[in-house]
Order: sequence, then C-alpha cells, then structure tokens
Amino acid sequence: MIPLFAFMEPPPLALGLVLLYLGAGAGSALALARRHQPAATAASALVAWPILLPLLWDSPRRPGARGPLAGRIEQVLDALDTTLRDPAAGDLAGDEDLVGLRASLLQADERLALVDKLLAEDASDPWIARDLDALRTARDHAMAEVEAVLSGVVQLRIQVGLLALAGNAAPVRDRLRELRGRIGALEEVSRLNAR
Amino acid sequence: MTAPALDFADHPHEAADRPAERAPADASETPSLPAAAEIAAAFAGFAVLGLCAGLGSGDVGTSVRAVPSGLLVGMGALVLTGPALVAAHQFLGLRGRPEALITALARGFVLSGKTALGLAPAMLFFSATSGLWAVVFTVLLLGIGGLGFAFTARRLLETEPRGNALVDLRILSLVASWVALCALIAARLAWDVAWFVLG
Amino acid sequence: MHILTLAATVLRDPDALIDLADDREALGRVIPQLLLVAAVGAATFGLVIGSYRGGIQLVYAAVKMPFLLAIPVIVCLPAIRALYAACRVDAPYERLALASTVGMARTGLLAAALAPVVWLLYSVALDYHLAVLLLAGTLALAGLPGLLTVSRALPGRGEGRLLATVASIAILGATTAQTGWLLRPFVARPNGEVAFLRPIEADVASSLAATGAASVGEYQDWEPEAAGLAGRGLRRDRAAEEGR
Repeated sequence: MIPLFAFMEPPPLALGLVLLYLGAGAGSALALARRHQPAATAASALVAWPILLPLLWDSPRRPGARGPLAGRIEQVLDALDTTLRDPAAGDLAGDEDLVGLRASLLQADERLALVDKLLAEDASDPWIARDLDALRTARDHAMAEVEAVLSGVVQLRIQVGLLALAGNAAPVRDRLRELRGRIGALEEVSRLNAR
Repeated sequence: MTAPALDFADHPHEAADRPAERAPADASETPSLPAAAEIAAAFAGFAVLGLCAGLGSGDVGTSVRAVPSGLLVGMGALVLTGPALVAAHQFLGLRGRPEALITALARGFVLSGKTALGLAPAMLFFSATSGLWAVVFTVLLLGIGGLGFAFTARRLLETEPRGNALVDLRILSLVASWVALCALIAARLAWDVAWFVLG
Repeated sequence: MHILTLAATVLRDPDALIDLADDREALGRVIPQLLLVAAVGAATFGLVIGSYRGGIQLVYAAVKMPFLLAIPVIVCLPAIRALYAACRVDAPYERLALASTVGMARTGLLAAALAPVVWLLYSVALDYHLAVLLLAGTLALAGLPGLLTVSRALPGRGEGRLLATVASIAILGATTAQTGWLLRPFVARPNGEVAFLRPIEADVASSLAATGAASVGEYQDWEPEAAGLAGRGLRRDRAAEEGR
C-alpha cells in the first residue's frame, strides 16, 4: 500500500482550511464561467483564484468618447487581422500582439477626444489661450504619432505576404511590438509632461 | 520629436501674487484628513493582522487579546506624541499649519493600517503552518512601523516651505526628534502589550 | 498564443506579456497558459529532485513542486501590493497578479533548465543534507529572475521602489522556505519512510539550522513538535491543557 500520509489522519483544521480555500475557488470558477470566460480560465480558478480576482472585479471599462481616428484605427487593424488570420499567412503573430496594439491605439484616440473637448472651450482669457496653444501643439504631435503608427500597420500588412512566402514570422511580431512601443513612448511622454 | 512640456508654473499672474516672503500656507492649501472609510480600513487592517497572528498561538484567549495589540502600540504612540509634536512645532515658530501636521500623522496611520491588512494573509500562513507567529508578528509590526515612520516623516517635512537654512534645520530636527520619541514610546508600549497578549 | 511561443516569450521578453494586464480578455486567456507552463517546468524539476530517492518519490515530488511555486505567490500577492503602495509605487492588482504569474512561469522554466545539473550532482551519491541544500540553492537561483520580473513590471523608480522590492523578496523568500518545509519531503532520505506529506510541525528556520549543523557533523537533539493553527488546532485554554 502506498503510504500517503505519515500520520493516520490529517488535522481537521488543516483540512478545513484547505476545503475553505477550494470552496472559494469553486465559487470563483462558477462566477468566471458565468462571465463567459474560457473553460481553462474557470478551471484554473479552482486552485489559483487569488490571481484571477481582477477578472471577477471586472468594472467593465467605460467606453470612452470616440476620438478623431477611431474609425480609421478599427479599419486598419481589422484589415491586418483578416490578413494575419488567413491560413496561407501561417502563424505570423499572436492575437495578443494585435489586441495589445488595438487597445493602445484606441486609448490614445480617447485621449485625443478629451483634448479636443478641452480645446473647444472658450479661450477669451489670454492665460487660458496660452495654455490651450500649448495643448494644441501637444495634441497635433500625438495625432501625428498615431497616424504614423497606422501607416506602419498598413505597410506591415503589405509585407505580410512577402514574409509568409519566406516563412519568417519574427519580423512581423517584432514590428508589431515596435509599433506598440511607439504608442507606449507617446503615453510615457504625455505622463511626464503632465507632472 | 518630443511633445512640448505643459508648464503651468511660469504664469506672470502667479508671480505677481507671490510676494518675496510668502505668507504661511492658507487653509485652502492644507491637505484634507483621510476619509472615514480609510481610517476604518486602517483600524481593520491592524485588527485583522493581530487576529491572524494570535490564531498561531492555538489559544482562543491569546487570539482575542492579540486583535487590538498593533492598534494599542501604534495609536498609543501617536496619541502620546502628537500633541507634543504640535506644541514643539509652534514653539519653534515654524510656518506650517498644525492641521497639516495632524493630517500627516493621520495619513501615516492609514498607510500603516492598509499595509497591515495586505500582510495579513502572509501572517495567517505562518500562524497556520508554524510556531513562529510571535516572531513573524513582531517582524511585520517593526516593518510596518518603519514604513509608517518614513512616510509620516516625509509628509511632516512637506508641511514646511523649504529654502531657508535655519528653518530647514529646525523642521529636520523636530521631525527627527519626533521619530525617535515615537519609536521609543512605541517600544515601551509594545513591551506591556506583549505581556498582555501572552497572558 | 501557442504554448511553446508563450514559453519562449516568458524567457526572452516577459515584459511584453505583462503589458497585457490592461486587456481583460487577453488576461483570461494567458493566465491559465502561464500556470500550465509553470506547472510543467516545476514538475520536471520535481521529477529530478525525487530521483534522489527514486520509486514513488519521483511522482510525489513532481506533484508537489508546482505548489511550492504557487503557494508563496498566492499568499504574498496582497502583501507585495501593500508594500509597493506603502513605498508610493502604484501597483495595480491585475498587473501585479500577471507579473507574479509570469515570474512563476519563468522560475519553473529556469528550474527545469537547471534540472540536468541537479541530476548530475545527485547521481554522484551526494550526502542527504547537501542534497537538500542543493535543492534550496537551485530554487533560489531560478527564483531570482522571476522576482526581478515582478519588480520590473511596476512603474516608478527611486529608493521607495528599491525598498519595496527588497521587502517583497524577503517576504516571498521566507514564505517559499516555509512552504517547502510544509510540503516536505522533496528529497526523501534514502532509508527513510516514503510519505506524500509529513505532519505540520516545527518550522523551516529550526529545520534549516538542524540540517546545517548536521551537514558539518554537529548532530543536535532536535525533535520537531506539532506547530501552528493547522498543526495543533485551536483550544480554549491551551496553556492550562499543557499544564503551564
């Protein structure tokens, strides 16, 4: 007989604590399943529910105002997504790369929407007008950066065909990350300027 | 190409309002006291940490007595040294408002309490699986106290406009003295509280 | 993302994964994969550790090793967040949770990569106490990049961040050590009884002291006793029961 424990019965309190933990895990798994999370995610909640708590707290992100580039962002990224999903393209890039880039671009677009709202305010006070000029310059720079990233995505889509023929996936992922990094740098600069 | 900085500090109308000797900070600039919910969370944090520690003793009485132990030490030290801090601050002719000092102490307490709440699961783990509850509880309280002191000292220093060497020396000496006194009083209270908890 | 691609990303560019923290959908997909990678890596390492004794210990150690990585992370997550918050570093819980999971996966993979070295040393009939110390040292070596992954994931810089990182490493290290003691034995004594788990008794500090002394020939009269809430339970008046 394979000895499982060196003592005859596990301490009741220890067993109780373990059952309590697993019970919380089961509750979390059910809650995740109800939120249409994948089965693997719900199953892993049984043992790792503290790590998955953010999925349960889900305060769904309030959809921000659509900015000036929202439509173009969706159009360009949908086109790239369609191209990458083509079986002939192979496994050139993971979903996460594209999803992350889309999220970053849409966030940048929402910030542009906020800034546009501020710029539309009354600028009769000379001191406010001066600040608005600075804000307008920053906004134009941010917009130029987003448009440059979108141009990069359009070029990348064209290059996918060549890369698929060569069977070399690394440049596509690297390029997507580079584009994400560019948007990330824009966020960092904005954060620094705001201090 | 980097975006131009939005610098709101160089406005002429602000400069005009800024005389050579700036008046003490007015009421509108005093940071507000923490919200009641934050203070309640801090109390709860200390209580939960104490309970998690006490359970490691395996004794119901000790567990119950351990609940307020962290609070007694922390609050006791603050209550005993707070008035002295304010009195010394005024006596030294420093310009910060007394309300700002109280707010700094309160925020330090809230920070310590929230840290205690975050450390409670780790405390419970050691209480449940080892006989080290007293050692771990002491180490965690020392760590929480250290962080609380560091945070509060920084906030106290921020209550005073800096730039004048004599003023800087006075506020630094005051805060250093308060930290030392508070630590000694906390240690003294901790001795009595430890005997109370262990029965 | 393919599981092998994920494993490569965990080793080469873990920061890219941590940036997914803002995307709930990606978070829900990637965390189970990371847990699987951590489990497989740790189980592989556990197999090698169990090979010291052989037999059923191979399975026992392989099953328990993933929990040795996971339990400290789960227990210490709130503590790490509180420590960073106290040091004025904004640490969103989801980012910290994802960074910890990536760190865990990284540790599991690195431990699996170090497994051949451990096996080689075990295969030359290493003394039991040295075998235990080798296990601890290997886990520390594999664990450090994982810990640094978590630290790099958080924004901000300065003394506050350094202090929070050091405190987090300390608390995570202590919890991992105690978890290792709790889930023992991993390196079963060659002539000892094979067991999946042992009673909850003593603590890692006293056991390490006894093991360290024994490894240099100083054998202490050390008898572990039941310890902790889970080991002894809760009594109304334990002091009276114990005749104090």
